[in-house]
Amino acid sequence: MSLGRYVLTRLLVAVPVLLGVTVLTFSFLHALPGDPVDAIIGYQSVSPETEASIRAEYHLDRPVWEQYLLWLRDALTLEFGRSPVTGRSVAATIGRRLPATLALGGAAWLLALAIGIPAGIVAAVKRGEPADELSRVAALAGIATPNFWLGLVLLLVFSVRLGWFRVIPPDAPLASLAMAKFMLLPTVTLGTASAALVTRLLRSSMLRELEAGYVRTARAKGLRERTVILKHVLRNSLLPVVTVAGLQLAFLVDGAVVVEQIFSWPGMGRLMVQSILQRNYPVIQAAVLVIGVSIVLVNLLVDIVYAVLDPRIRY
Amino acid sequence: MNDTASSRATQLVYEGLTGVDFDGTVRPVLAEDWTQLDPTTYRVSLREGVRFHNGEELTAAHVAGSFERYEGEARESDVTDWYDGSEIVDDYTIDVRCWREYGPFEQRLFDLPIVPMAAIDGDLDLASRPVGTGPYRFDDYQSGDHWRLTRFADYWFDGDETVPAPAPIETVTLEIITEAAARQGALEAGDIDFSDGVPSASLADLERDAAYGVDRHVGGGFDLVIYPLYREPFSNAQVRRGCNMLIPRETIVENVYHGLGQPAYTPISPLLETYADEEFRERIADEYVRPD
Repeated sequence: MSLGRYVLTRLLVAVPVLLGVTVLTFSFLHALPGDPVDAIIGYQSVSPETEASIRAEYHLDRPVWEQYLLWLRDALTLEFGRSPVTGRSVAATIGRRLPATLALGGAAWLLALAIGIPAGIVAAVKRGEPADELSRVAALAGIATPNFWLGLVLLLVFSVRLGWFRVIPPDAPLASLAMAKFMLLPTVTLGTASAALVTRLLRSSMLRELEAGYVRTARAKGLRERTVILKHVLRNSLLPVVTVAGLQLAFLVDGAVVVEQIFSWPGMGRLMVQSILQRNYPVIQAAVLVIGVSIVLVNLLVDIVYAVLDPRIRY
Repeated sequence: MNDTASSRATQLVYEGLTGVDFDGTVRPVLAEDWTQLDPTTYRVSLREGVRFHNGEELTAAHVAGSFERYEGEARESDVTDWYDGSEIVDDYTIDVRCWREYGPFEQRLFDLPIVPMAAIDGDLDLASRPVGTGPYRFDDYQSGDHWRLTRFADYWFDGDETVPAPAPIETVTLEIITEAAARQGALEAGDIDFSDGVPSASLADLERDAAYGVDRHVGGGFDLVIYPLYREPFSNAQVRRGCNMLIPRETIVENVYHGLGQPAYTPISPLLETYADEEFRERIADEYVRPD
């Protein structure tokens, strides 16, 4: 099977996955206590006619399965309606929020790899030496530190006390130097745990590969140690890291819920929290779908990277 | 819109017929004067020469339209609780009819924004572009990030001894900061000039620091316990009274609110002086806080 056909198949498989995700969110939302109409009218009393017309506007008068189908029909044309809370277009709100979360999650992910891969290599090559011990302690600390705590401490030390960074995002476009500078602390907060995980994983994966026969052969034929490690061992050790790195990107979107709160970052995480508290069904549904699509796409990308890393894998 | 930042922002954009000052006294805003013609009818004279941010000039038709636009909307109870109809007498005079005698009429007018005809006719979507008669006009809103407002050059108010005019600040940016610790951080780092929601544990520190001014107001909010009266044993008044005596009010005020607040024995705020006189307090104390 060619790569093109493989990608196509995977995209087709993604359709039932996304449908499943939306059905689950829809059912969970409707299982929550509380009537969304009450949230819309602000827990006041309105005339029965007005209540009926609000119910009809958001299809809340139909059975749940029919509400779902109506929602799905609109979602397919990217028509997510208006937020009953703010009166603004849901698509426009998500269009603003999504790039912010993707930028933060992407930056944290790159940071995790940029720290985790070199640290993992060093730890494996210098096994048992101080560099290895240090990386293991650091990785353990990285995994064990809750990101809400790390975020607040970084904010207090570097932004409030030292004044190196702003506490809240600057009034600048997302793709600007001022914004890139501001993103440093949230990126570190979000990326630390993932960096630690990548370090640990790569270290153990490389240690296993270093025992393999082909490493002895490579050394025996007089290859430089550097070439043995970087060209042979690293490449073979990366497969589990790639799997985890793909999953971590999804995990980073989750982590964004906390980090966005601390750094006042206008992303999807805060939007979701707020919308759930407000029983804002249209926004929650659309946000879950958009995040689901992003995660499916990332995992597809991961599978393509497999093939690039390991020529034995053919689709 | 019903999130905090949005309501703060729109308070500067919209105005009602009346306003309520810091003492709770009703003051004229867009209404210059009003008289009660009979128990359910009020004649309201409007301020002349008031402009909306989109250039329209305030008339009685705006007032009628602003009240009537609520019908069938989620917020209709703001109006349908009392409003019956109105007759426009002339451009600057309108008779407002209530369907029942309505005590808080003047206070009610305070948070009913008067909006331009463009919004009443449906050409202007106030949700995405708020337009009113207030001292600040809408400039920009970024979801989850900020509201920006700029001073309205044609604002009607000429200033008085307490409030200067024009407003001294040209651009107001309301940053949306959900985390209370980050609000305090932003204040200390100078990213913001003012915050109304720092953690209560930090208030004492900020008060000691000469660099900050701390202003406190008594709020009307309270915590309460609701007993399910329909269920044993809460249907028994003795049990409820007993539970009530177990609530460590002083400890809650001290530890949960860091001393900000007062123990309450009824849902009636001390703001309502009439209900908070000595005799009343004693009776309440007698009823609820007897140690036996």
